[in-house]
Amino acid sequence: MEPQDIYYNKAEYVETASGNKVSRLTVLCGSQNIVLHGKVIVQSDAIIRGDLANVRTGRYCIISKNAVIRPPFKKFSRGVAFFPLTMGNHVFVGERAVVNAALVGSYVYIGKNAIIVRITFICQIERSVLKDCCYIEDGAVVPPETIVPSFTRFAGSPATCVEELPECTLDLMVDFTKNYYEHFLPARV
Amino acid sequence: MAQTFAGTQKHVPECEISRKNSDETDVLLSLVETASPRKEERSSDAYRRRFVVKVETDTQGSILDHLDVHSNVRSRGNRGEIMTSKDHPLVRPRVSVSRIDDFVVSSGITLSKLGAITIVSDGRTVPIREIWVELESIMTSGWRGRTVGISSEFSLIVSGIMLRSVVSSAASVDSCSLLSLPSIIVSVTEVISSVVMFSLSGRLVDSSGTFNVVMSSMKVVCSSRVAMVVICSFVVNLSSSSFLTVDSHYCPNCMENLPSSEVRLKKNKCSNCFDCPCCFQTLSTRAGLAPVRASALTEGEENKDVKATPKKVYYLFCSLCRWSSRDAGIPDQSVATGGWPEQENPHVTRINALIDYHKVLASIEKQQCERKKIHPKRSFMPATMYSFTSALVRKRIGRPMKPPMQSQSSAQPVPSVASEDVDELSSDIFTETVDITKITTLEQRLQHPEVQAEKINELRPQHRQFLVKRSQRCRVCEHNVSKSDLCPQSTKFKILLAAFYHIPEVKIVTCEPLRPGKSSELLLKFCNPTQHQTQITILPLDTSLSTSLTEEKDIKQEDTQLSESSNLLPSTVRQAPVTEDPKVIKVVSNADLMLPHSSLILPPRDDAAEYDDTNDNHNFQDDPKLVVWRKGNKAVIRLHVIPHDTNKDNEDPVIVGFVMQHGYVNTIAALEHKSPQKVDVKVKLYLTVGQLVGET
Repeated sequence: MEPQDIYYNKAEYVETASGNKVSRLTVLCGSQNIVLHGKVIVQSDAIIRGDLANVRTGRYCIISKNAVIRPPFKKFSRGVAFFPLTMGNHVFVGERAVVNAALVGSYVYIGKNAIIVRITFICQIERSVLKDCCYIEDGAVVPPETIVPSFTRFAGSPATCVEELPECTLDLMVDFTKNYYEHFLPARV
Repeated sequence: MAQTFAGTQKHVPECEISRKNSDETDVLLSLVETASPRKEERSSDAYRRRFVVKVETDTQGSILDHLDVHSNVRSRGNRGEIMTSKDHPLVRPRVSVSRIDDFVVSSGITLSKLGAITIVSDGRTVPIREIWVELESIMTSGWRGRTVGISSEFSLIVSGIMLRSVVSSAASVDSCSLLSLPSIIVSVTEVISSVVMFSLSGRLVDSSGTFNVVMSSMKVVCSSRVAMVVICSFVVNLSSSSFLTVDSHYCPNCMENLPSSEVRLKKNKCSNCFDCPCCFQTLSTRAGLAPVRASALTEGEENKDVKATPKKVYYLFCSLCRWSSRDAGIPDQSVATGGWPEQENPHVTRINALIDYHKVLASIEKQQCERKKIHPKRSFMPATMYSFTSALVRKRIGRPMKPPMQSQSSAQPVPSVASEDVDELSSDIFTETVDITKITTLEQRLQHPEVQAEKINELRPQHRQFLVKRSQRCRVCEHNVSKSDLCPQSTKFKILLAAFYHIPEVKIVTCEPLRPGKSSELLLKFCNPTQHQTQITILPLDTSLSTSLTEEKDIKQEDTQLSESSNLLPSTVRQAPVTEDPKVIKVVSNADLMLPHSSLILPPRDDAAEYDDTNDNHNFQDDPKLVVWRKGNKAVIRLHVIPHDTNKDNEDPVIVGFVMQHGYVNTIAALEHKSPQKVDVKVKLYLTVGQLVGET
């Protein structure tokens, strides 16, 4: 099924030179710490907590309405420390999802209302940017310190691996996010 | 250490057996040189030549008592043979030969087209007659270039050499004159009686021969949520049947990658990572300080130092349900990883006895199976040339057909006996109140089926189970269709022949509200994923599909769900070990489709086009009635659907069917056919376009 066109109010969105489309109605705390690498869509009422730690996204990331991107924290014996949150390319974050992951790999789908609790690693542990494919279903709650391996689909609360993804997930996700970007159009006046 | 055998028989030349001391068991057969033929042999009609064959091994005992080599290079056939004579008790049943190209050192193996490894020496082609070995696996890692498949499963008998499982079959032929199989593990089950190796040269493909080396490739079709469909481009065939083989095991938590032999020892579980016994999430290791014992306070001054520098201890902790190893009474560890007490299975001795017994049964059964199997498989060999089967040799030398089996009766474990004595229930079972929070749930018990603890505090952390990386093979030609990288973090594939990259993608864009008997507009988007221009033609549903091709797709408007079924190609390519009847297509179309008169041409996929803003439409002369929109390798076409009047009353969604014919350039089969094959592939498609709305 081809995605339908989504029309947005041109006055509401800011489009940058690199193709980022960011709604004016978002809460971007500490915007100097937020790096969007181009062709990223941040929809209205999304919250990105750049004031806690750096947030970096790759290309073609889609952050839907009311989603919360918040760097993870860890409690130590002397206080709390926040860690930067890195997101790969071609990541989709569904509506009202809360992402507290330390690392979100590339080609990741996070469904609606999904909650990814503190220091959850998605897809990878290492800092190196690798192509990783995983799928968090709508409403899943990924518990802390979980590592979601590549080519798995996680669902439930607490989220567990429910099935495996096809081998061409990578291209399917690229297709999905690119298509979404292409169909995210300013409304004709 | 090299040991030279002097021949005991009259025409036996020097044999050299060298043993080297290494961990691996290697048998290195190498043809060192040819000796000049004896005069009396030269005069005979069979022109005999002699070889010096070096056998290197590291086994403790001698493998062969003596090696009887005689080669008869006839003037016409240039045939030779190396045979071992009677009675070679093999000390070890399994011998491994590493590097088949070591087999011939000075002369080299060339591979000729007929599927026999010939050994060239002194400019002559001398195929070794028969080696009675069974190749268990071939590792062909590190082969470069184009891929070549060697079919596997018990059936590849290269005239007496049975390749039992080919571990990896990616190989290049163009770069090597030898079939350089980097290592071959040979398990010798019978007496080494004679040697035959077929030459497999130039091209590894010989479709006419009996050689089951098939060079082809297949693809796995996957769509977003669909079952896999495999195309074998060797015969451009779609089929949903592929079989999976496990490539590697890895721990989903620490991403450790282990070989399967080690995994078996560890019972498919990671030794470092633990699951919470309560909520089955991963446990993390926490550091804490050793609690100061009350007894230490009362003791002397020495302990004050201990108190001043408390020892760091580690315990396991579940960050989801807050279970910790301290709750379970497991003592804290002084090292961060490992050292956790293993829970003993109370029935371990009994289980081991049973496993051992069944291993014995399995090996007996396997032996019997192989004995039955070996004859029909060898029937293709000309009896005159390769008449030495191991069974024949056994007969000839007067041995019983079956090797004497060990008496296994002693190994049979004591059968279990039903007992009537059951422990009495304690008297307070009826009076004591049950605290449900302290009793384990069924899931928790089944998590550890060996112990099945009843109370919460008896639960112990469980080792994390490994996940596997798998590769898929075509059921028909057994070539790999998908093979992933060994590294668990990597999402790359060594081989990925998914149909996603070969078959045009069809997406429903929109469909007007459907009314029975009335025409509604249906927009379909086609996308060409291949590197070649393709022409798509829509044909009526009752078009007969080409010889071997059926595929059914059922695209639901909601989630692009495809359910594929297929049949397999005719068995002319090879005797397929697994054949499958075509699945019955149960989908019934309940709407008519107004077929377009023209066809659609889609340009090849161009990744650079994304960055190219010029709107290049390739100036296709499109029928404006058909093509609505076109960009790059994608196009949207307009079709008209008329739902049948008959399904007014039922709630079923409207399904429309047609046959999509698309041109497909088979580049992989081009290895065999020199030039790329162009095939028209027909695919049956069923689209669920939506529900009927209202009455007319």
